[in-house]
Amino acid sequence: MVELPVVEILTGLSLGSRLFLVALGLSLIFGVLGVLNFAHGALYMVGAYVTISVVQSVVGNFWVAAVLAGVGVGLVGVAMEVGFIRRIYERDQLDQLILTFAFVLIISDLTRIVWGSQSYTLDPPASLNNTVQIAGASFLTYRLFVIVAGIVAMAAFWYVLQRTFVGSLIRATSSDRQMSQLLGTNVSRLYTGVFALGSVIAGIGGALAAPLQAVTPGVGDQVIISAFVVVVIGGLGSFTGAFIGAMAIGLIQSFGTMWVRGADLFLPFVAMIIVLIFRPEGLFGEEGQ
Amino acid sequence: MKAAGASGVVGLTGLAGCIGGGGGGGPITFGSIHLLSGFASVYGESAKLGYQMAKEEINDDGGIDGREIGDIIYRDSEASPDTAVQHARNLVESEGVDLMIGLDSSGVALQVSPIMEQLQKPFMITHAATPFVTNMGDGDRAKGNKYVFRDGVNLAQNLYGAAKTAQKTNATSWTTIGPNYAFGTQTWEYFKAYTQAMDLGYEYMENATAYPSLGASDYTAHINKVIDAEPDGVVTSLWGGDLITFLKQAKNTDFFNVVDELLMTVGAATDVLRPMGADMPTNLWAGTRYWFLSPDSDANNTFRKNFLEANPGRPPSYNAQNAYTGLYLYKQAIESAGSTEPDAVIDALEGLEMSAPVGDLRINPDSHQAELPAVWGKTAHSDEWDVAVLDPVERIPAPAGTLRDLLSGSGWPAGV
Amino acid sequence: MGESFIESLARPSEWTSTHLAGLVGLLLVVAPFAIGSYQTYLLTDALILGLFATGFNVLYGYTGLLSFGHAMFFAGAGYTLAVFMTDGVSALGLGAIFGGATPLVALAIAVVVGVLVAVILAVPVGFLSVRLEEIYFAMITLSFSMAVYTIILQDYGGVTNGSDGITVILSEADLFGIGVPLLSRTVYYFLVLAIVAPSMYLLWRIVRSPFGTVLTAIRENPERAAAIGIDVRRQRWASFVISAAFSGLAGAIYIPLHNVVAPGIAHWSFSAEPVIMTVLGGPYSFAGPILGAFVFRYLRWFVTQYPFFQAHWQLVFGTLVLVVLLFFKQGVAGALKYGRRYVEARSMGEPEGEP
Repeated sequence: MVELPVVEILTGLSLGSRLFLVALGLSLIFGVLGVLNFAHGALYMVGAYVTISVVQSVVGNFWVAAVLAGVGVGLVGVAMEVGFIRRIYERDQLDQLILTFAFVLIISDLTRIVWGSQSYTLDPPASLNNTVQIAGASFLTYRLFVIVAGIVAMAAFWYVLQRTFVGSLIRATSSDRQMSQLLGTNVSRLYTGVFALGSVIAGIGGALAAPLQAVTPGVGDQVIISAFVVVVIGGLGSFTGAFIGAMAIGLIQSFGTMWVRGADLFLPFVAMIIVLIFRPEGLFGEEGQ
Repeated sequence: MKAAGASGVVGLTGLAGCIGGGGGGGPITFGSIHLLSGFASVYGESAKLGYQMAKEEINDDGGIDGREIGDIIYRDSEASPDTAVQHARNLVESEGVDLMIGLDSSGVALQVSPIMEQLQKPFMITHAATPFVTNMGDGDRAKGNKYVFRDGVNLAQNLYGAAKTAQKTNATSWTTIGPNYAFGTQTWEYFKAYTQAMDLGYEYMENATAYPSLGASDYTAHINKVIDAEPDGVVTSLWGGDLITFLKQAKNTDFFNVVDELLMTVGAATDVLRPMGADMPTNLWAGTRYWFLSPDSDANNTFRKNFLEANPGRPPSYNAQNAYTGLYLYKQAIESAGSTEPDAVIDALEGLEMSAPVGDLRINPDSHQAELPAVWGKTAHSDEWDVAVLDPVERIPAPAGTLRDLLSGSGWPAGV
Repeated sequence: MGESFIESLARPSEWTSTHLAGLVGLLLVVAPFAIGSYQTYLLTDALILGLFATGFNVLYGYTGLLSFGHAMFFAGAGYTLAVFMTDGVSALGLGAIFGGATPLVALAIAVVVGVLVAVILAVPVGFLSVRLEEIYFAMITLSFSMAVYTIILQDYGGVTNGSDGITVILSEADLFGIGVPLLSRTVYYFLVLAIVAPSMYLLWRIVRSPFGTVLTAIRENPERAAAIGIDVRRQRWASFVISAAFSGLAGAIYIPLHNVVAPGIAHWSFSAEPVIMTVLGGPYSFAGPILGAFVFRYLRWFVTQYPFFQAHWQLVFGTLVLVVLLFFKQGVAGALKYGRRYVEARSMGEPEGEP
């Protein structure tokens, strides 16, 4: 059984990269706006549904669908931020959490109204819909693509944040909003932009997940708690943290399943508790964040 | 009162007759609790289609003893026993419904059952499969009482079919992958109990059993675990969206290279077949609580035809059939009893026989469970239908006595 | 007061809290005889949820710590009661000792043990959690609660019966020859009232005490509180345990009313309920949470009455919470306070809107 760990590891990375795409947007929004967006999982779910609808329509192309999903969900995010979340920035975090939780209910039900409650399935795009042999085991090429996509997203984000002007604005505003405003940043537009960006990423995350599982109205709820665990472990507001955290959780679930029943549910929470006790800012978070 | 017409009358025979003349008064109301939200809400929606069809047919045909079927009040169990119990109480005490019907989740059914005894109202379970609620007696596994009935195949009957199907194969080492709750674990227990009692000499690979969380989005880790053990056969109780996800993901691993036989206990359910479409893997064993193409009887053919007319492109699921048949069972019982009074209806239901679309059934007077065969077959493509079909398909008789005998040493009730 | 209490009743605009409490008390005592069995059930449920929310709010509104894990105490006590009522009674041979009164005695013991379990759980969990603040506090409490949830669901130890849950149906107690049907809605209502009313009073005294003032100081400005010598962490811990104890109490008496204990009440989505109730009712007044609980409970019932709403209750509820959150910041309690000031201002002949 020498090949076993390789399969487990790749599985773990595959699980992790799917989580990462959700966690990235969540972390971005929290890091900059200070809002923990409960509805992030619901946005991810909408991305998955939109992808399926576009692929099943005349367009038929998965990549186009993924882009449209990102854009569509981004627009939903803008509507949420401009219409509602903006009004409560000054209020305490509890209110923000409840507001986004209310959105979970609303978006879930609207999704059910539009798409119904049956399961939808989607095949991976033809170019990636085959298997490769790794360490003696079959592995779906599309999954490898998702792992790569996660890494690329991570790199792209790092680059934008560290090396571009917009990135520096984002970083500045997240560490000191008032100062940033005094220096001329249109903070409110920045916030909307960041929220939209986070939503776009969630939508794309959903799009990329659609070929891997049945898409049902419960998909959003499944993913949001895992995303919370990931961002807390990684460090709220840190993207490197979200990446490492997602991979860690994926690996824990992958290996844990082999030994303990229910591990995939239980172990991530244990991990979160341990991190919160010993390093509450997360593995990569900054102290006092 | 509507004029009796030829509209959509399904050829149901059985004990007809209106003893005692017209009923006590106005329309008959039903309370119905189903999964109407969340990821399994397709079951509740499907059941509603069955109820609506039955209600229209019955009302067009003169109603029940001259009384119309009035409201069917639908409530969402939200997969929570607590919520369902509250709704049950509300429906009986506040809304004053005549009779209750429904329930998808076994866990919910286990908790609603004792409440029906408190409320003293009959409940016809149409989906929830735990054998415990049609098992009267003492102990944790006897949660039935005189008020609770079930018109659909239960887990024990279905798993008997699974064991008989396994017997046809050459697989001798078995393991399971199922959702991480009672339904998943009990499927495995019943499979072991039957195959042991049938002396099939199987090896049960306990270390390889995999129980992913209900609604998990990724089964790869669990699939790895099973592949690692290299069993001949795998019994799976995964259902709905979970089964779809599993099949899609398993296809792209070595699962089907390593495992010779896969038995999907509820694999031929339409809520799996329809989304899978032509992607459904063929040559796998699948069971279901109702197969829309079996039996080839007037009752079933007419039902299927009418259902497809009303719901184009949507072959009837077992949820729809069981809901439909449930109302008809009540109709027959009420007409036989001459009233909707609980004790009278219960007496009439016990031993009642009917030709339903799912087949000729009889409500066992001791357990209140419908005696039905288990339907198992191999998945195959069809040119005629948009979904995969079962070909060949077998109706495996599951007599109450046989099941009870086989399970007698195991501690698991047959619930029939 | 130069006039009697009775005379002061004649001027509603000058009613004090005592008047209101008295009126509410009277209504509560009379209610079950006027409103019918199902409504009594709803009222009992609302009272229990009110206790849950008020207990939760000791930690949130008064101490400033948002917990997303209070379900673990509610569920911990609830499961303890269920296990005790089903297995414990026979195991301990209580029937032989107490005879006919056993159902009532067993219930009493079960409730006490349930609260104890909640407290025992809260001590270490609280100790670890109060080292954090804000979102992190919410996340760690959520994690602990979900860990408890998975333990209950997995049925490690074979005690909880996993996803199937445990049924609890109270039987009739025989007290000195009088049969007391504990299952009766009216009887159980008064049992609950006899527990909830003193508990609410106790909570009132706690938040009005010097300890309560300390908590509020910590909520307002933890650094300043520490600077004047308050052991912030310790006081938060105490608040946590007290909050958990009352939440556990609510959980224990909830189960016999609902007849079922299932893993769902340990899930984070159940922890969200006292949060929603508190938001709806207003976290900064004592009566806010219980008002919110009533609104929440009756709204849920109301929604089930109309088929369209019932089919889309998530949409309806989500929208309602949204509306309240955006336009009624202090919740129902805040709205009532505003309304009361308006009435007072009018009765004193001043232009409306004056503070």
